[in-house]
Amino acid sequence: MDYIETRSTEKKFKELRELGQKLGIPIFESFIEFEVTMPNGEIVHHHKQRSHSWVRNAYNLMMSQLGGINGVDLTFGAGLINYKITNGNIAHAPNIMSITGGDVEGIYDDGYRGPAGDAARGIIVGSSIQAESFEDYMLITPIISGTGAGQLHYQEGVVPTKSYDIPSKTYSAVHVRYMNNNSAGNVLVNEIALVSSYYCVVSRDHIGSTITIPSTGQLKVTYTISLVYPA
Amino acid sequence: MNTEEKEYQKLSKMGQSLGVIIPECFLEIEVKLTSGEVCSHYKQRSHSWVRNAYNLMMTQLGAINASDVTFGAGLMSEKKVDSGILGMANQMVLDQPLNVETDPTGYRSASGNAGYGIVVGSSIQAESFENSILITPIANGVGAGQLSYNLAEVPVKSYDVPSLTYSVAHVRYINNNSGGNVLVNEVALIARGVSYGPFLMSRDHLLATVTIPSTGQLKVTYTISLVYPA
Repeated sequence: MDYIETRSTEKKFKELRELGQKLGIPIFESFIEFEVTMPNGEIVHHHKQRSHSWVRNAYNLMMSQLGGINGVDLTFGAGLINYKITNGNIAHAPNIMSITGGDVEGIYDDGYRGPAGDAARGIIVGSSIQAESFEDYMLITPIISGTGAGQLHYQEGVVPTKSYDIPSKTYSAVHVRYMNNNSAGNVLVNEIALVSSYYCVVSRDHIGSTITIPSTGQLKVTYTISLVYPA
Repeated sequence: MNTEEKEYQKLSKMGQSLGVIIPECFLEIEVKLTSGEVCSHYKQRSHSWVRNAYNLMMTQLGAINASDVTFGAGLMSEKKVDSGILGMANQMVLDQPLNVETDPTGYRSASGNAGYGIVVGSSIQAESFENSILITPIANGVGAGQLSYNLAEVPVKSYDVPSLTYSVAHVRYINNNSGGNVLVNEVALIARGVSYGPFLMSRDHLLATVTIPSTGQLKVTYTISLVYPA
């Protein structure tokens, strides 16, 4: 597996992580791993990178929960607290914001667990090479679920796994989704998003380089979200 | 500017540059007499998000349940102020999907209620990441050593364009109607938790004892900020 982040980027994240731990400030990190496997077991692509791209929705969620305020603003942008959902509408209510507030592990369509055949929620991929933007609220060119040309068949998101690394005091949640190329041709993936069951993108990443999923190939995407605890 | 403050500011800038969410929290203490004289006024960083706060954030952004039945390192659960451990087949939330600004929910505590919201205590015990309650809470009342807690103010929200910083200020007035001095050494921010009961999010040991003379009024302001990348 290739890990594509540069040494200088890793050095900065390490410094950030250690400083946050020392000062008692929560530091989230997020990684994405891509693996493409053929039916004969051959791995034709495998790389891991950081997800750099929590979008405004994710910041607003944290501000609302930690700050104890409502996501009530009618418009979206700097200085405003609400969600912009994937159809472009503004979700606002005189209530605190949440990913869902429900059982985000056990129910197939809650949290980040996208249902089978559903390319609108959970881990989803697209083909656009457009750069990331903090204002992203949807993939630029989503790859829909299906067996036609340029389509992928999305499986149900796997139940997230949780782990804790004692030496680094790091808690991690791992979200996995498999997508099969049942079309007759290659499918090219250039972007990826994490979407809650409220149709709210919390993260969109432009992938380091195009991932080609050959016909009959399977893409496995793994999002690892970590938080470093001070103790 | 001291070294620690420089480190906080460095962290904030690095987070902004790397797209990592960095919440900051400040605590302001002001004591006024009925004459209007301000006899104590200072501001400090709140250093002390406790384990509950980290777990809340992890279950929200990580989209996982807080289902462990014990509490501590590597476990995802909520420790309530009554020391009960709450493991649930749900994410943690500061409060149910309620209006946390105008209703007495979230951090906005009701008049006379010293069980949640901004509450103060007298212990000088150092902060701990494992704190789940004030060490020696000051009860609501007019007896010796007690304070009268007002309804918390509606939180004030603001956005600073140059620094791209969104802030919310939670304020609570607490009056000394006891007839004697009341000494405050610790402050906490407690979420109401309508469904499951209150839980501590932050506890700070104050830099110095704050004396609230009889008839004096304590104003506590918690300012929680998030620096956005754009």
